[in-house]
Amino acid sequence: MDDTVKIRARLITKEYDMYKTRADKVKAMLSVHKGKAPDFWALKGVSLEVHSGEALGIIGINGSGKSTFSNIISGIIPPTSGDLEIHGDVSIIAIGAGLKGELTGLQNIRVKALMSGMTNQEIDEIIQPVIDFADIGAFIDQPVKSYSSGMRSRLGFAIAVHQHPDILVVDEALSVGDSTFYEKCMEKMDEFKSEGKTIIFISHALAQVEQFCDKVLWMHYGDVREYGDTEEVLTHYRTFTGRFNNLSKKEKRAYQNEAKHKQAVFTLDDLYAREKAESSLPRPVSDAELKQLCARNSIGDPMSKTTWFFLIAMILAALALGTEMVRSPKPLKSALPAPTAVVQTIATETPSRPWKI
Amino acid sequence: MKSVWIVLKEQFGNLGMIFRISRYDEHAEYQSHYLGLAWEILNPIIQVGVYYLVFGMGLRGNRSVNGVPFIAWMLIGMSAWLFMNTSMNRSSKSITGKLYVISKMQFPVSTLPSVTIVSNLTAYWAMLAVAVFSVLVSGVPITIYWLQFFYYFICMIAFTFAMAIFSATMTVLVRDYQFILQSILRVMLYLSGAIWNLTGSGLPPKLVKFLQLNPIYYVINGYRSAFLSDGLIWENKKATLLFWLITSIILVIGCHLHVKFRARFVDLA
Repeated sequence: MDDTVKIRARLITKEYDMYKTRADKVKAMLSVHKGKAPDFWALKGVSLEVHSGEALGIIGINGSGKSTFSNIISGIIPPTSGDLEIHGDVSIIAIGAGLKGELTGLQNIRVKALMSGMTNQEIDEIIQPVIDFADIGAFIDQPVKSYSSGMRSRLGFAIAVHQHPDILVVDEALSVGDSTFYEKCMEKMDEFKSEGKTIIFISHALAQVEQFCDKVLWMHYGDVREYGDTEEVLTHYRTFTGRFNNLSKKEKRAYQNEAKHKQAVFTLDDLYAREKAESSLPRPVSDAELKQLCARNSIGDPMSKTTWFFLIAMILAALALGTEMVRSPKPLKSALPAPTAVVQTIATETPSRPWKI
Repeated sequence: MKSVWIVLKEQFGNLGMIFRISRYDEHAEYQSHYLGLAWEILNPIIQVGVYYLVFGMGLRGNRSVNGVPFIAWMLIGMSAWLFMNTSMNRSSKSITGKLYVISKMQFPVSTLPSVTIVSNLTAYWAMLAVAVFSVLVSGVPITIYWLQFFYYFICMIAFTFAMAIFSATMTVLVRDYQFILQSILRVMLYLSGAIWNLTGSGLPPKLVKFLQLNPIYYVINGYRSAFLSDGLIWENKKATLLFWLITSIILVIGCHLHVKFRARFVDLA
């Protein structure tokens, strides 16, 4: 098995603006200077390296940023800051994700396969294996909105594994399936692993994680609490949840509120200071690089000077030309004698032919 | 400029996928209909029939336009107009309508407007066939002028694509945009000369000239000059230049907005 890096994430952060309305959201995106919107940092600098053939488990209590992180490494949402390298095709499976309710199961298979760039011939080849794997019987011809959550996740999983991804992200999708389906999925995932594919497995079922994953990332309110061998991390996590569950309701609330508050007041300068004091990166970086990693990624490139120049030149030219054309005394269409005359002759020669529908 | 290049590269790189998805979409949409794809052509024909009754027989008393029967003259323009109108309207919803699937996979989003344009082509070919048939029945000869069709077809696709990528992006950012576009297009039917002859109307000449600056008018008028053998492309250098200027401006702005914001589309869903 080769040991190439499949995913390298360095100091990934994700900020959500807690705007009340869409209009505010769009305004903030368009303006260069950010207004004073309440922020929330779902991720506060997560670094990670995953190699080929590795199975990584991501655990953590609700709201720790697991799904945000999995969406970022799948390339679906962009990180606010930090650097992400992905080598290979990623396929993500979340509960009922990416399936359209009005379409039947069969149509959903086709649409997803088409959108992943497969040809019709390739789709015809995989369609039967997908149906067999999903094993939802006659429901395959029913609209997905009539499916149970178990059936949805079966179909989602079946489609995703047949798209031959290099990296498979499973976001709690197996938690709704029964044990037979779970076994089937595990078999498939083991097969993937032995083929040198990378699997990222997000689950609350610790037994599943223990059984399947080589390494575990424990996320805690947007931070990496621990990253290492499965057994070690799981032991610590179990101790933590045991202690946490023994707290009184009030203490639990206070603990959560404190963590949430930290996520609200977090800034990228904090991240820089934290990394300066103690680096969480697998490889050391220079100060300049660290500064860059802790800087906000620009949302696309701003319009370059040349583009601006061309655009303004074109607009001015269009305006000038338009004015000129309206002002000029000449009618726009110059009368051409030859062909028009042909048409007119023919029209006059056959005047008695009224058009009828 | 870079974003225009990125977007165009994605279109040509995924051409096969665009055609496959659009064909599938068409079949899926009309699958539960008894008449199936026939609706794609029946709908516009009914529409055109009504316009012919009102504007051709009713208002004009079935007079000819420059010696060509009104129905032939109108159908040539209408086939182009219907294609552009439907494509622009539908493509403005193309990205918002597929957010459910792109929110869970990596996908070249810029191809979605093209998918809509390609699926509308089926109806366009059918309408064009009807129009050309009517032209031939009216006794208008086939001349070398007809070759201009290819040029105006490229014009039509270029302008529609520029508008589509701009509109699809704008609809994600500002939902109201879709309704603004719809209203504008509804008025455009009358202002673009699709159903009545601008030059022969009683409008003041200055206003007519102003309306003729419209790129949609350029395409519609171009088709008429091709099929009715009434004018050549280079006779109207200024209009041609203006058309390509406007198309380029829309394309540059549309592609720039698209590339800038597409990573955030899912956040806005």
